[in-house]
Amino acid sequence: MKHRFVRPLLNIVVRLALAVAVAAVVLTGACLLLKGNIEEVMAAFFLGPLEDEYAVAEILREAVPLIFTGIAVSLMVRCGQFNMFVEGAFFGGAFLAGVLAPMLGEHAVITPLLTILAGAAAMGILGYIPAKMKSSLGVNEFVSSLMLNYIVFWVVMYLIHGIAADPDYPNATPYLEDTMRLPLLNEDTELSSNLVIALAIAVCSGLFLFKTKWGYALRITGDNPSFADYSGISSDRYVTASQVIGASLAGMGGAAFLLGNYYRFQWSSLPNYGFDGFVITSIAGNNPYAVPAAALFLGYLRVGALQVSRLGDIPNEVIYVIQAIIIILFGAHFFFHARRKGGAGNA
Amino acid sequence: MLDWVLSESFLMNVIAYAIPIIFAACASLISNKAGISAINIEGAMSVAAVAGALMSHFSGSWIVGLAFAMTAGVLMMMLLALAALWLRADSFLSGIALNTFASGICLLIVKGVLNGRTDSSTAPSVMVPQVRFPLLSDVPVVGKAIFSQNLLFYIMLAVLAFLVVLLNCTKLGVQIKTAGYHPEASESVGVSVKRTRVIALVICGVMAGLGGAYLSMANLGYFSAGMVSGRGFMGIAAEAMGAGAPIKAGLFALLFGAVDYFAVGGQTVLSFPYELLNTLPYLMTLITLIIYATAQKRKKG
Repeated sequence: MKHRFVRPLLNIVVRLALAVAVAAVVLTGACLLLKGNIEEVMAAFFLGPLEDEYAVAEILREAVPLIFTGIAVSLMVRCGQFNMFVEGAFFGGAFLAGVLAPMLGEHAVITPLLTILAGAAAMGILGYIPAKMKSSLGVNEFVSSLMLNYIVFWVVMYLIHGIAADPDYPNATPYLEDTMRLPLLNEDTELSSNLVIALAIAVCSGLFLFKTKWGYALRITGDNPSFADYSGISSDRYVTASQVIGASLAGMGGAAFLLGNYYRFQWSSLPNYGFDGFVITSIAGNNPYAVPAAALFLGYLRVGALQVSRLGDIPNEVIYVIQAIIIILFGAHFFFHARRKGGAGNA
Repeated sequence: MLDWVLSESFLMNVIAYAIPIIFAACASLISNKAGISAINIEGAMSVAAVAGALMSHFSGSWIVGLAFAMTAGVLMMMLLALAALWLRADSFLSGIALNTFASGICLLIVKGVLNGRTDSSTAPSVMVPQVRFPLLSDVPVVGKAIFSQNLLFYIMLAVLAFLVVLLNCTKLGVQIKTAGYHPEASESVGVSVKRTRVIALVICGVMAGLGGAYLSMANLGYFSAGMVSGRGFMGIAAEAMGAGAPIKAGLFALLFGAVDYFAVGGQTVLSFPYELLNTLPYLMTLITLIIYATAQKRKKG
């Protein structure tokens, strides 16, 4: 019991302390470079996100997409796959939700749930492309999934400019009535129930990974594919499956995020949540159970960065620098479970 | 449409679009040869583009700008070396992180220096000069495309030649290849793999830096956020298909450049939705990867 709970807990405490230290150092550097007031900036960054219930709700809102993509990435990384399609799948899932929900009509609960499942299914199917390319042909999944992201992005742009357009909003999907959306948990802060779905997915993924034979086979494949093959586990199958599951969870996340936080789909660029999934999973040590905590933490940092940017001296982008250093340090201190063999560019 | 594809300006533009991709492919090649994947070529190009644009503007000299662009590229690769070789983080994950880092630091620097702007068009770069060979550049169709080009085009040719010579004819080339193919063999004869990889990453950084400099100091006269837009990744893909041969990688990169330009230039010439034209370079990469891998697999049996 001790090993199962105490060590991971200690682990995450050390990681968070390290991350806070990184944030403080980067912010100090940014203050020196951009002539900001260090005291003001630190107060806004660390205390700003906790100042009232709206700010706290904002942290929770920020965390929802990160939970979905973080889990999607952690399942893939556990299997040794560095697939970037989480990004495109999240985007595609959100777009599909924006189109499908109005088509299904106003049926409370049924419409959003069906839409979310459709988003998951569609993106799982698309995710099969890089997955199968990897497992059958040995094509590096990083390059192929990245290309697929761009393709999905431009196809969505095409569809939204042409087919899915609302006459009053040229570059957006039709308006989502309240019954088509996921119910709110709190009317005042507009916190959506997609948070509950995200948490449920986190728990299910954890159970899948640690309590089922498929999850076990997936982890063995990630640790040592040859060993998996020798012991009768078809590693190719899990390489494919992990990427398809990851893509469909990301698609589900995109749909749930749109139906919870927006009234229509009108994104005009990739939202970057897929790449954030890598930050989350490295904070969470590739453990789905720890993903929600990691997402909340990153949400907190992001709301902090937003508060800082409101002061005027330091732009919001400072968060990218903080995130990057966090990934590298965490990767260095605590080895990733799944380690890739050979060069990524060698297809 | 055929008139357009066969025109002199089409060829000129294809080369202009291909140059940064070829630099990226060269950068990817040298790092992969040494057995370390540099996913952050994309980010290194972006940082180099900022450094080149701003330093050439403030110094008034393109040489200084180019030097700083190359230095910036090398610095980004040294961060990768620090993460992957010394801190022993996963090189792949560090690369992803360094790309994120690059997109943040570029905007921080540009916003910091130019009071909140996200591009440097108010501080135009000093451009890398054009080189024109008399007589030869008057040869029809190909003359202008080959003999009247930006200096960086000729540097690019030199870089390709340098890679071929380095890998095939020098001791360092053998060491780099050994570090990639069989690191233990390298260590067993007393050649430090770490040292060899650092050297390879320095070369990689210089090439990524040149690619970035081309974007902000030759192709466009300033830096703008997101100007690299996947060209580094396309270079990595081209290198993967060239399977370690510099010239082959360069040709694939040229092909990507051609499709890339076809998608952009075709928007005015062809009556086809531009969004779908934009998918072409990526679609082609995917399809080529599949064809290439299938052929490889069949060869192996």
